[in-house]
Amino acid sequence: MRMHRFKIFLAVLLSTGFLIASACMFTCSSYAATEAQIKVLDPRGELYSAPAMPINVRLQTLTGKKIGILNNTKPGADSFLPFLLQALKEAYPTIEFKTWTIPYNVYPNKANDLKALAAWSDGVIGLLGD
Amino acid sequence: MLDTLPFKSDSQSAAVGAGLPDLRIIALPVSTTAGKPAEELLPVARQIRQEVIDALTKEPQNKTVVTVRPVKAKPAAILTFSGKTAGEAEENMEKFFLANKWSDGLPMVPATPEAVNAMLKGTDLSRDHIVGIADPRKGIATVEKIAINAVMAGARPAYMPVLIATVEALTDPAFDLYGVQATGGLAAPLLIVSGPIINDLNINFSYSTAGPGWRSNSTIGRAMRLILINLGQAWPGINDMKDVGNPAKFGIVMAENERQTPANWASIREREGFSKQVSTISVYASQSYRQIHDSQKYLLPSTPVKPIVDPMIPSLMSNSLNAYAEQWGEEMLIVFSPVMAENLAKIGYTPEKIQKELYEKGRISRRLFGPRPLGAVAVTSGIPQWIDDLPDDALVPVVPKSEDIKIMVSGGKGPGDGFVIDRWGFGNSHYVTKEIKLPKNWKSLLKDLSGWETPIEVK
Repeated sequence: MRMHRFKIFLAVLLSTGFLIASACMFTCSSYAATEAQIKVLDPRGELYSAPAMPINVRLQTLTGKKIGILNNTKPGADSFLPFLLQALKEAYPTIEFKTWTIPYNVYPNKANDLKALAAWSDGVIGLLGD
Repeated sequence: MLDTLPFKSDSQSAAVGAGLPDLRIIALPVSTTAGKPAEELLPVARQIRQEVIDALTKEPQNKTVVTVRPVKAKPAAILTFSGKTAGEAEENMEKFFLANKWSDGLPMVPATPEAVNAMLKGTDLSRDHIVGIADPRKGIATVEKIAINAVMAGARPAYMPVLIATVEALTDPAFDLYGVQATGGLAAPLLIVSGPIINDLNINFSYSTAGPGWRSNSTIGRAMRLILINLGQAWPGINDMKDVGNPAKFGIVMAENERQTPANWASIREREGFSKQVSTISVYASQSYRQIHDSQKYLLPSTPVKPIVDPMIPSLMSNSLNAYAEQWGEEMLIVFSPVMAENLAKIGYTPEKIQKELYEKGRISRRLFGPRPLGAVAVTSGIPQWIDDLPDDALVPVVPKSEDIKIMVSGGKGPGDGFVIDRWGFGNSHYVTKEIKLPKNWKSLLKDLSGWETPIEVK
């Protein structure tokens, strides 16, 4: 009887040990696996931006204001411009428009043309795109 | 600023890059306005009218404080990726790069600090040296960042001098990288290598030079694209607005076949003003690739033989027939196979003679430019007044000067094919060539290429 109890005790002990060992192996192996790491250097370039400038103070009203139009010569600007001006005139009949056609790419007098646009205008609307 | 809906992100990107993050950008709810009738456009104008009024009269909620960012790049940060296995960690890196738009979609070589340090042995420049500022987002292209992207592309350290010269060329204002990256056109930078470095780096200059199979051609081209993605930070549909793109965006590197160039033809680098002893890289905003063929061999003996350049003329003139005025002023690149070049040389042609003959014969009607006066488009495209003043039936050259037709010999000795590659024309991009400067350890660097070479078939 005593021998039988001892066998049962031994069997329980071995089973428990096996379970603990299995659990430990499983835990240890998962732990090791989650440790696999790779370190790489960030490929993205740091961005250089021109000094960030806030936009000018907004106008109080558009009544009687001179609005310069910057047409960058993309075909879409020419098509849409007359309708934009018509729609704005409907809301503000005294608004004055003057259009500067300034191509999107670089050309010799570009800076001067932009300065002239800025000098004349109370506000500017740019139109670009296809 | 008014733009169409698809271009709003592109305009925002440009505004930030120009230092005007608060610029009010209003997107018209259409994909294009060009050529649309009044009944479509007037309602659109009325629809966005209040937004335009608000943009002119209401302050933005969070106004930007003036800041100055000096051109000084920080060292690259280290990113850590984990997984159950090393392979899974790499996969997680790839997934992160894809999700963040840092990848070209192909598998990446991890740019570990060790791999990047090894890559940096390919240059004498310090890792924080700034090679250029890459448009459109103005990424600072340091030597270190070039090396990181080179590792990811699978390049070898000995390719670094080519990549540094490539970035110098891409960021040269004459190339107009902003336009090339952002355009809705089909622009894709094509790289052309000329000089002794072709042999040093086992760059394929022979059969299918513009195709895959060589570590150098493939990974230099791929590294360039990753640099354009990660430093220029152009992305399709955000600030790279190409409708359908261009397969050459994967990165094509072609090399000059100087060994089989006629003896009295100077190399393309010499014709660009460089000495024969140096090596160069050229960047060219390629658009479409059209085959030219030496068709004379198919003629019956009784058929009168035409000058060999004649069959090329239609290819030269067929560029963008719907937009001559906008695209005038382009360069053209003609690639002759060695057989074509040999046949041309036999009957007395030199690159200069071909340029002149094509310039004279490859002309288009003034009528194709549109009605006089051309106005703004003449300024944009650099069309001189004398062309604008010509009668409709007058013939106009397709390029401003005969030298704008670039000529090179490349490829293997096949049936006699080559191609004409026209240049993206909506902008001011030009063919830019830079010398490839070699580091002091060049000879020992080349030893690393042992085992990375693919035989080149030269017959």
